[in-house]
Amino acid sequence: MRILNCFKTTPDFDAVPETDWVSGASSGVFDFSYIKQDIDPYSESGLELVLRAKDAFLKESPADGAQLTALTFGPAVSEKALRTLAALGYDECVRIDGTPDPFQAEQTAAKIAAYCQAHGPFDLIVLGAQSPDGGNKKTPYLLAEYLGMPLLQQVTGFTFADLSGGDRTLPIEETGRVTVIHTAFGQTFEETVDLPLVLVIGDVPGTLLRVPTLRQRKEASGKEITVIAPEELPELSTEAGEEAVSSGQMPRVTCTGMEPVDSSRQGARIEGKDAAETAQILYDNFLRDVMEVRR
Amino acid sequence: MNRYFTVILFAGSSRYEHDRKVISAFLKKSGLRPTSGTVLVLGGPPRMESVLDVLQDELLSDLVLLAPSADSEELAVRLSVRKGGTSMTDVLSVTESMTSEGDAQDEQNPLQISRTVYNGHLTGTFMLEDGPFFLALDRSLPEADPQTTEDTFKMMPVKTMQFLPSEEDPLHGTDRQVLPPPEDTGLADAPFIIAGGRGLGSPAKAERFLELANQLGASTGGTRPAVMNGWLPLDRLIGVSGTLVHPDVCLVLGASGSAAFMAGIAQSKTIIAVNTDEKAPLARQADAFICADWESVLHELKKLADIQTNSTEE
Repeated sequence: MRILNCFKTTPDFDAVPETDWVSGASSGVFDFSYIKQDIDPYSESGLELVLRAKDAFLKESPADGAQLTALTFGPAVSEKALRTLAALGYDECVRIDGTPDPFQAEQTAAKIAAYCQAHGPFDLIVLGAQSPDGGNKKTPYLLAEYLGMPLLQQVTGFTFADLSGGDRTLPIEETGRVTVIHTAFGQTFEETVDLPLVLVIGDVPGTLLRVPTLRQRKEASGKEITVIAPEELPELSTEAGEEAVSSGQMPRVTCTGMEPVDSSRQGARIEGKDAAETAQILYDNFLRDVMEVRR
Repeated sequence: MNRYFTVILFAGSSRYEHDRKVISAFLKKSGLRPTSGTVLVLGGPPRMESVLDVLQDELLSDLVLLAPSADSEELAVRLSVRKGGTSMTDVLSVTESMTSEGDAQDEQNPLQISRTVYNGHLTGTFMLEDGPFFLALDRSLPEADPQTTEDTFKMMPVKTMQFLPSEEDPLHGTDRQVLPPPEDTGLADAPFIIAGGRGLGSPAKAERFLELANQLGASTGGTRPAVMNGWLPLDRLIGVSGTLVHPDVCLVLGASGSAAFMAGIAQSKTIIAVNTDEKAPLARQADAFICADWESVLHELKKLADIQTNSTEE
């Protein structure tokens, strides 16, 4: 079974000073180079869930058939995350070189789809629901359409289904199914589904990416990060993809302006001479009517 | 705006009435005339793959509006690919974007929409040029009143489509079990909320936070870091991907004030922040700010509440 896990690293936008948002919005130029980059939170859950699913399966079965690929489309700074993933057990770590426009999800999805066609096929593709920059919530769905794959979204967990009937010698690709917990149309389902499949990861508590040990890092230090230039990727060949990405047919979405979101309020300082007095002021002015003590 | 449009709603959804109200308010704000609209109600509950297969042939509108939900977002984006159009999610507003030669009533005109970007720090305006347009609305949009909603929907013909499992659906026939729904936390309509952030500090302290907040009669919620750390359950997540709350008072402890969280508490009448960092963005985004350790404040509040209760009992 070949599993592709797509992720994105972005700056921690909550660390950007308000003044930079104001000046960036008016000039249209943003410099986030001084801000620490993180794997986007939904992708992080997806990367960890894949490792857990693989761990659980290997515990159950001696057959090692899961080949994990981590893929990002981004600048060289993303390689730090790829090195971590290599140490954590991702067999292939790949970067499509470039700085994708955060508002052109179609172009990002087309590059990922082209990669899948050139280097796949993948049985399972895992992506986060959205990244913090564009926040388009489009890339997984576009990818599923371009590749003609079914998709489940709002996924909160999955395991490889053991359909071997107790025969633990069967390789995982022969079992070929996953059991997924996901939400659709207001209901939460657990279902065992055929592959290939795209999974879109939603909010999953307790899925921060594990930290590799020093030993794991050392062992992976020789692992090569594959870097692909976007122009090296072939054109898509699926019906939907071909139509969507052939020259000039991508939907034209142009950002025409930005404004900072102003959520400021009065910010009055409450300050007593000690904690007791501060609490008293808080209680007298704001909480007296809403606080209802439960014993 | 003078365009023919289709509204898509999901029958049986617990948010069905809310969605109708949001759509109604959105139409009014956008100047879209209900007499130019039709409503498509999808029942089932459907399988997305089946819905897509049917709607790609059935839908002929140049503009499709979908109520805010993750299902709507998926439907909007995937339909846009199949129909060769453009999709956008989390749409806050839509206006006609007239070109210099354009006519205000020309359905070929681009659309201009707005939505938040960069984790909620900015509102971006986007021009969409290639119809048909599939717009999934933003979860923070306000509701219209019940009478306006009824009046709006009376003017639009409604078509209901039931979706039964189809053998052509690639996921058809899979072993599917419905899991019991989570208990309603009541968070969405709670009058008094105490919310914790990363500054709660540890699982043990988070437990203490829950205990004290509960004793003060508050509903509890948390920021994404607090929930992702496993300190609070997922159904307590407040923010754009969790619950949007509108309490009389929201007391926020140990949170910096990320844009995504702020969007979740923006409708609170009063926001009070407690943080040891006086430079935290939340200090300016709250009505009142206390620069202190959250535990000391909560302990003192508990003492006050006890005194209050004892004096009432006497």
